[in-house]
Amino acid sequence: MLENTCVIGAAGKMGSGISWLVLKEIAATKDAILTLCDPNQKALIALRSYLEQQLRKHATENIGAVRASSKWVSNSDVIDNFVAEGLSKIWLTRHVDDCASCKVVFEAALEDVDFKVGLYSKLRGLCGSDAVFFTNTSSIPIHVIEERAQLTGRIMGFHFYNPPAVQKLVELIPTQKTRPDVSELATRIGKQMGKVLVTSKDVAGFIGNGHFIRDGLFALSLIKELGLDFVSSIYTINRISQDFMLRPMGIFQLIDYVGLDVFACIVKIMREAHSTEKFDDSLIQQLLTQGVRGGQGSGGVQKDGFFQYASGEIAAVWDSKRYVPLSEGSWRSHCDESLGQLPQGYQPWKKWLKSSNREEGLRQYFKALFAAESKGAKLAKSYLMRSKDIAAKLVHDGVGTKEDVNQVLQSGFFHLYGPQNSYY
Amino acid sequence: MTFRKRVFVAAGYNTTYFGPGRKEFNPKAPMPQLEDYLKETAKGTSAHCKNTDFDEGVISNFMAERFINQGNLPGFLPFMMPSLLHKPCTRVEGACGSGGLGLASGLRSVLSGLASNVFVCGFEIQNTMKALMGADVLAGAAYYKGMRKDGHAFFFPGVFSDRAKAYQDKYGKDLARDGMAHWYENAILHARHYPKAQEYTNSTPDLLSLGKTAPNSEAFVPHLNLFDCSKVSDGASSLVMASEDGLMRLGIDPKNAIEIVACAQAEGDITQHPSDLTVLSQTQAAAKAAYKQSGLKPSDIAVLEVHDCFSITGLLSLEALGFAEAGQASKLVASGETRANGTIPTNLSGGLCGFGHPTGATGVRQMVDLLEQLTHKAENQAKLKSPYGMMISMGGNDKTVTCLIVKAPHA
Repeated sequence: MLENTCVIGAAGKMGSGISWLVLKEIAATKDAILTLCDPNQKALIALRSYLEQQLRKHATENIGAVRASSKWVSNSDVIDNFVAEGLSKIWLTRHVDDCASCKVVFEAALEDVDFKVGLYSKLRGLCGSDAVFFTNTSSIPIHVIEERAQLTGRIMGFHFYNPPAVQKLVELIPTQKTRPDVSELATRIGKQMGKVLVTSKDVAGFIGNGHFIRDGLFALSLIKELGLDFVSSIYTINRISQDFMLRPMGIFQLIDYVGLDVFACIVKIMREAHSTEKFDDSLIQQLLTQGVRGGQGSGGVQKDGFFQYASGEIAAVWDSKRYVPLSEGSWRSHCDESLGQLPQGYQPWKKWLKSSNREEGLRQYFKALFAAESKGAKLAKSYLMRSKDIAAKLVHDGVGTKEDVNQVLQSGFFHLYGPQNSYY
Repeated sequence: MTFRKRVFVAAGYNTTYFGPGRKEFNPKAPMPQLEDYLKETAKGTSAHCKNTDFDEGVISNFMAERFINQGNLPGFLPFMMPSLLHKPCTRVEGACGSGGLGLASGLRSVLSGLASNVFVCGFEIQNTMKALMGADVLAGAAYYKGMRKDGHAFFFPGVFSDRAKAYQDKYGKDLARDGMAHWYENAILHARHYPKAQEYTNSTPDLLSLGKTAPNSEAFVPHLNLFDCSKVSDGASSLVMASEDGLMRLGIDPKNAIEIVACAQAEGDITQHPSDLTVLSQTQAAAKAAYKQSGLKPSDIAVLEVHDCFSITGLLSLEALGFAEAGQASKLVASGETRANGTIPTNLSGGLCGFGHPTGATGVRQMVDLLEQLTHKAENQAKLKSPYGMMISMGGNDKTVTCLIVKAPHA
């Protein structure tokens, strides 16, 4: 299946994870070759080092299985040999031409339609007619690339979640013309990688970003509605979405995680595709001109965006000119007082993960939330219902089933509950 | 059989046995080094002596060559005890049974008349590598060429997992698991009395439940859990072995010494697998010889040190030494009879599972513990029904075994 594969954009954040996932599958396969293509030479060298570490970690964690198929005796020789064999499978290159002989192409390059069309057009000319293409785009409708690059039936979306090596969820996005064997191959590869596969209709944003972007834009629209200063608004809405709505992180922290530029890029793609819908990200654009970008640094370090971070924790909020520390003055305590107490049954997201009676616990919590009269509870209710509406729209538009939408948000975004639920 | 002269053990000292489990253990931080352990234990033994004019030195160690790239270990004896400069110094090795061999070697020197006193020590430094790599080094205690390839990644846990399975199949799974869980519980409860024990700060409230954790063959070995296993440890122990004359020369009061009344060794063929996994045949043979030498029987023994590299080994040792009938060790341990106030107090500082197991040191540590028990200086003091103590030092899968019986002073 993956004996002759290439990853384009291999040294990027997503590409390196995809490269590892493929290498893991072929590390012990005789005569397999994995071509890793990226224009950044320095990053390619770092990629090799990353893959070497991952091979060693994998062999150590799976020492029993690796020993069983190794001719070597000592653990250190078994592991060293596994690493050497794995590394011998990779070919690092800056040139797309070196992907010519590949049968399976994973692409995780620039999230830009014209760029991708140019790339795939080139690949169509280079690769054999039996080559298939899997793009990691998180928002560009696949059929647009398919049509413009003339890859009818041979390309589909294979959208990994960040980070690919850890995240179980993959959205598969066939076009209306995707060949059944290509779709089948994608499913087999995804299952072999141990992924949770959800099929999305080929609509800009698919399921994941279809919900996330609309969710984020709703949060942005609340800023004006709250009538607070900018810092207090950001803090308040983030708290609502994290604490009151029991999410792993608040919405603005999530946008920081993804990166404001990436968010804006996806908004642009979705705006172009959904012309009757309003996608107002003017605030994001404003922040970008102020140099506020968010995103991840090397080693997964969170960069400052809406928030400033210290050791991964929120330390301050952006105020168009500076970051205002949470500890400065009394604005934070005013916001917290204004929101009121968390409803009965609240516990932080992490604790819910270990809860043995989660379903009943959530039922009771949301019952209390919807009965509460505090400002925090009311805002959370409004946000939850909006989230539910977004999900309903995705289902109505055939982007995914109710179960698929819930699955994406629970597996991909680590929500405790899907938006289409019986809790509220 | 009595020895041609009386030989005593005195001046025992154990360093802290250090490694995972100790509060201060951090694999990324600097750790005490070989020299630190050797100096400390030598100082500890010396403190019991009015002078330290030793005739001979013995150092027990398993695999310093691989763990710390250090050979020629006799050279460390004059480093530890300056009086050993220009004196006979010997290193002995028998895997985890090195300590017992060290004791036997010291005894022979005194009995032969070549020495009136011998400084005997043992050490191991193992935390220089991750457990998975250390497993290959420790696998050298078995027939590496013939057995390593097919062995479990962690090797010796796999070896004794097989013994646990055989015991379960023969006597019942629940009975075996119950015995092993109680063994673990006792090891920690005993270790809590000893600040130098590796498990000293283990404050787990329900040790028995932890000991009953179902083995997970995907994560570890099929029939043992992590709590069934002794620790990876760094540490050293030392003592004096001497004739009456030798004790006097060192200025050691005989009432602070115990007498060796039996020393028996039994060796198995390392290239062969045990014929019966539910029996420690070499341990049984060594014990039989020791009982014969001393004219004693199991009911004469007041306090016991066995080599519980794994909880199952502890159970099998009790049976091999005659303290329980075959298949009955679990019940004996579960009944509390191996606790300090039981009929056969065993491993009262925690044994290998609780105190720790720096492989070359353990046999010496066991004798130090018996010395403390029989001179009533132990922190977890047993109620002694007789003046006799017994220890088993074992190397490999019941291959290199030394059994010693000792007697309290003025008995």
